[in-house]
Amino acid sequence: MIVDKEIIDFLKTQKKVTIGFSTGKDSLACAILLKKNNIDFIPFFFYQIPDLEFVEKNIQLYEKELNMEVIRVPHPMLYDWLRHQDFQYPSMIDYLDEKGYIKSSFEDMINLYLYSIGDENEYYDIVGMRANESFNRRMILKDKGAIRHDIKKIYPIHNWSMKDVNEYIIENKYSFTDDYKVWNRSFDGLKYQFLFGVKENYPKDWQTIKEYFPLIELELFRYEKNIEYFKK
Amino acid sequence: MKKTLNTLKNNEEFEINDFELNEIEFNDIQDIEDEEDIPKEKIIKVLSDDIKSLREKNKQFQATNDKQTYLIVVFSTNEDKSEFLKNVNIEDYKNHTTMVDGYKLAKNIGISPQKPKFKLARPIESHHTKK
Repeated sequence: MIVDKEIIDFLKTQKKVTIGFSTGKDSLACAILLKKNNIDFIPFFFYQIPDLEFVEKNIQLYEKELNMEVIRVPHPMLYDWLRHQDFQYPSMIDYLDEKGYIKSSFEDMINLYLYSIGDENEYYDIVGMRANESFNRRMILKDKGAIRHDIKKIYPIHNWSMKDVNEYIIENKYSFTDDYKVWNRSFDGLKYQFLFGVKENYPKDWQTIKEYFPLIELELFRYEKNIEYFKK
Repeated sequence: MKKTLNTLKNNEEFEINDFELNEIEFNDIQDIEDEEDIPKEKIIKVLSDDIKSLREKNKQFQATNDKQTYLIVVFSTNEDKSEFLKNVNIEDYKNHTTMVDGYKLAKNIGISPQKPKFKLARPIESHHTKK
C-alpha cells in the first residue's frame, strides 16, 4: 500500500487527533498507522445500541492490542431512533417525548467529551474512508483532497485498497473481530441485514436489543414478508 | 488554569456559570485538579444512564399485568381502511403476541393488496456463515 507522506508529515505537526473507531478494519488500519507514527490520538467508539456484549468484546480486544482506552459515547443515530420512537410501544411515546433526546452529531459528542476533560482544543478527526469504496467517495476525495482543513478531517488511507487494509492489519499482527466471521464487515445497527446475524449468533444480545427496541422483530418480519410475496 | 476551570465546571454538571467560577478560591480549584479523571467518567456515565433508563422503563412496562395490545395496520387507501374496519373484529387480535401478515389478512377480507415491487437485499452474511 502507499502511505501518503504528505498526510503523515501533516499528522506529525499535530499535538493530537481524534478518530471514530468503529472496530472495523478501515478505522483499525488508521489507528495502527497513527500508533506506528507516534501520533497521539483519542479513539471514539459510537455505540448504536448500548450494552451489547459482542460489541464490548470487540472494543476490549482493541483496547488490549492498541494498549489504550477507547472512549464509548452514544452514536447520533441512536438519538435519532429514540427521538423518532422507532420500534417502541405506543405507550412509550410520551416517555420518549418527555426525555427530549436531542439531535446530535459526531462532532458534538467528541466536543462534549473533550470539554468534560477540560480540553478546549479542536483537533483534526481521522476518517478511514477510501476512494475505491464507491464512486461518490472517489469524487469527493479527488475534488476536496485527503486533508480537509475546512472541516478538519483527514483521510490517511484514502488511496488504499481493501487488500492493502487487510494486509496492513495482518502484517502488524492485529486481529479482526468476530463481526467479520458473522457479517464479513463490522456490525452496523438496527437493519435487518445485520439483525438476523445477531439473533442467530448472539441470542443474549438479541434480547438486549428487544429491551431497548421492543418491536424490533418487525424489521425482520418486513424482510421475510417481502421475500415471501415478491416471489409470487 | 483555564483547563482546571473547565474541569471544575463539569464537576458541577454545568450548573456553575462563569461569574460563580470567578468567586471560587484558588485552593478549591487545586483540590479539584487532583481529581481530573472524575469528570470524564461522569459525562460518559450521564450520557449512558440517560439512554439506559429506557431499557428499565421498557422492562417495567413489560412486567405490568395491564399490558395493552396493539394492532398496527398500514393502509394504502381509505377504501381499504373502511373495508378492513367493516370486516375485521379487532377483539380477535387482543392478546395476539405475534405479528399479523397484512397481505394474507387483506386477502381474507376481500382486499387485493399490491405485491412488493422491490425485492429487499439479502441479510449480510460472511463466507463463514453462508449455508
